[in-house]
Amino acid sequence: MSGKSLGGLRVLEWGQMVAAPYCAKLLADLGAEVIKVEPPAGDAARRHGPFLHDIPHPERSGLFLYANTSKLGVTLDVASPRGGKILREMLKDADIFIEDAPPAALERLGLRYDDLKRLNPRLVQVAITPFGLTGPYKDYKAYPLNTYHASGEGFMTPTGSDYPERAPVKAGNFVGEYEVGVNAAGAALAALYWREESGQGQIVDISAQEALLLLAASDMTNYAQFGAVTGRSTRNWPFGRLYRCQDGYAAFITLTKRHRAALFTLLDYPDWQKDERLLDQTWLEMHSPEVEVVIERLLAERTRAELFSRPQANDFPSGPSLRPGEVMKSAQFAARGFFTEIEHPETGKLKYPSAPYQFSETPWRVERPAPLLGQHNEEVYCQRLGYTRDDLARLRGLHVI
Amino acid sequence: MSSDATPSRTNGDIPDTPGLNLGYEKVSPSGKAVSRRALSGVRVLEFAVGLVGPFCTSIMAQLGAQVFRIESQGAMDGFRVTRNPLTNERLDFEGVPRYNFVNLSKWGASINMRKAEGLELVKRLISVSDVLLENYSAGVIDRMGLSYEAVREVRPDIIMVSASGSGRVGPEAGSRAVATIFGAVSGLAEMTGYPDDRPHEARSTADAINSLTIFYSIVAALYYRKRTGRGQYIDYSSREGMTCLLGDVLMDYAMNGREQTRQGNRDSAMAPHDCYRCRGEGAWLSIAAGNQAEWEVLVNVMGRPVWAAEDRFSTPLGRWKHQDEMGKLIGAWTLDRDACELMETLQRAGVAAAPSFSCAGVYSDPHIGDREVLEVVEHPKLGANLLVGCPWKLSATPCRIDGHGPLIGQHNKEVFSELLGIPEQEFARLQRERVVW
Repeated sequence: MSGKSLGGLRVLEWGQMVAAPYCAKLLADLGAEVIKVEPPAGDAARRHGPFLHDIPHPERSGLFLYANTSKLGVTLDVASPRGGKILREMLKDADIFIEDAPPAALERLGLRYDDLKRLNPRLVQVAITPFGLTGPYKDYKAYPLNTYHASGEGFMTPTGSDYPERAPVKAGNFVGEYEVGVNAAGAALAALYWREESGQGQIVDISAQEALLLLAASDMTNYAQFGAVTGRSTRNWPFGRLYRCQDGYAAFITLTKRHRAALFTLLDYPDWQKDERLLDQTWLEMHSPEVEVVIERLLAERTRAELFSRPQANDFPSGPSLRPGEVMKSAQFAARGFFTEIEHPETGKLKYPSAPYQFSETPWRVERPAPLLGQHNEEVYCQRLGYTRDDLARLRGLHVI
Repeated sequence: MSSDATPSRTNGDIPDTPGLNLGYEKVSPSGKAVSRRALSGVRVLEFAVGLVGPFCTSIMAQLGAQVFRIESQGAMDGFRVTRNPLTNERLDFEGVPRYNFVNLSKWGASINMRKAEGLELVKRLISVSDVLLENYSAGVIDRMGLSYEAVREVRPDIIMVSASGSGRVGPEAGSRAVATIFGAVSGLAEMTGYPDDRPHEARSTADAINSLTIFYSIVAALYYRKRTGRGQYIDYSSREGMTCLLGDVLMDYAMNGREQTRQGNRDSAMAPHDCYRCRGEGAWLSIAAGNQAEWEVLVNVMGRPVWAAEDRFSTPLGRWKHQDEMGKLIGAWTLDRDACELMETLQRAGVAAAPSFSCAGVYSDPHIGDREVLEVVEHPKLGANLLVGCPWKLSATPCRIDGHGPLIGQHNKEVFSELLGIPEQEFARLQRERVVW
């Protein structure tokens, strides 16, 4: 237990793609033992890229590898009678059960909290669904696109858009789904903490729409108060945004006179010291489109490396917009040891993001790479639950595992 | 502002559970009795500014922790300096909606930490706290005399969190940047926006996701401390918190050297997968068809238009390749239809659809209303408003908002006189000398 925040904790995860698996991965990162239950055909994420060398392969999906590090993996057809029985055996000893089944399926399979608490009164069940377990939309179908937009965050994205008549957009790739996972992890741990106090388990109902709404809500306060709707053209800052340079984009934000002076010095803005208007925030805000055209003209021949090697870049909020490769090579991330090499039997050694927290007593570490499909069937079913190898062969023949 | 949506949870009295020792935490900042909650009994001391730190502890408070926020009139949170979005008038610094929102449910005490006696008061509060959270630029807290080593002398099992943009080590540690910058250097901006347009910063989501990541980190540390008696120091980096959201993007680079970029609403395989204009100003409906069966259903709902039978739209790959053209055709169909009604029609048939709700849409969404996500919160300057409470539904220990974001020093009496037992004359002197200020 020493050295791991959640050492000794047993988590069972029955989820696919991103939100629920990522929630479980975050707990694995904190030292919990996580057993991931996949259908015999595998988590759908195994069929989703990016793939190593762009060749689809169930053991070589970068999405699966990232969202499932440090877990043990078993296969199980939960919907089958034998599978359901085995799941219940595992749940008897579990501390936390993370799942993303639709409410109708939970009812049909007898996996609602009312069913499970009789089996294990200390169990914390974390139910992750697009719209929650209750309410008029509870049985609605939704992909990450839909919940991102239903949350209200999509309508406001992209921020400070020059084209408010264009469609609102979701954040790229699976950003929203990882965010749902972060919400769920927080709620799960809060429920766990309560259990330590009271001995009592409970169910935590996480709606993806609501999880993302929680993140968006601080941009809705002007609506609540003044009726002012935040739209895509609403900027975060009266002056400042991402600007195009020769080799990409850079973010410049100025809040004070000194910031503005540093910016114009950095840009080698001709004769800026003689132009009082440029240091006047009000004037700048009113004339930002014209000034921004000049700024981009001045940046057209400047590279980000050159810009950010200048001392003025440290004197006001500024930074390059980094592309994925640049993120991985960044000196700041390297100094923090943020990227960690993990070896996996099918994909070899690759660098993965670790965690954004550094704990002094219980540092982050990798337990194991993401599991191969059914990799720990024997360890879990035979060594822990007492099934024999013959039992496993039979179950495999019946497609239960 | 009132809304047609049924105002759901209110600040009602919930009786305490006898036998469960909550001590001082039996009462909320607004003076009402507090029900048992998941983090009841945890005391947090926070003097962070902006969004990341304060929003984190507000969520802790809604989960039942007792959160003391330290703020001084001599060093006010920048969030208090803002304007009315409609009139552009400066807002009263005690009447700022966003400040209120990210500081809900907290107790407010004013301490001037520039004074030595102020630091001593802070240390006294630390000695009775479980968690300390600060988000000054890296290293500032040490220079103030509140390094982890110094804090541990006062409270050996403290869980102390330093939340900064880049962490405490590295060439960019100590940079005084804002969320926009961290969104850029984390890689998140590159992945946000249209493919033919510039990268965009996220809104407050970029800060808020860090609030929630710090939240679970703290609770994990609390759990560890409960079992071992050991606290610890947590050094948190916001930019890394955002980079974690790009795991699959970075894996593509690690595996294949590919630099993915923003794609608007596009998916790597699914089409249709976009937002389509509907009737009314700024009304959009998101629609996604994940497989051939869902596509056929969508075609039926659209009334089997001739174009949908074209060869190029008959397979998933074809639809993906020709999604721009297909999108125009679908958009022509949605354009004069109401987004919410169309969602219902499509959902009934089995197609994934949901409006891209504005704040107004969210506030009037019947599902959000039924789920009781919005709570009425009273504020002396802002009046009564419907705000988004922490929506995680814990069956045994529900979340609740216990009060508005505190005015500066609003609970000085409770904190200094009642909790720390400072006699009245002494308290008056501290106020006179602007230690409590």
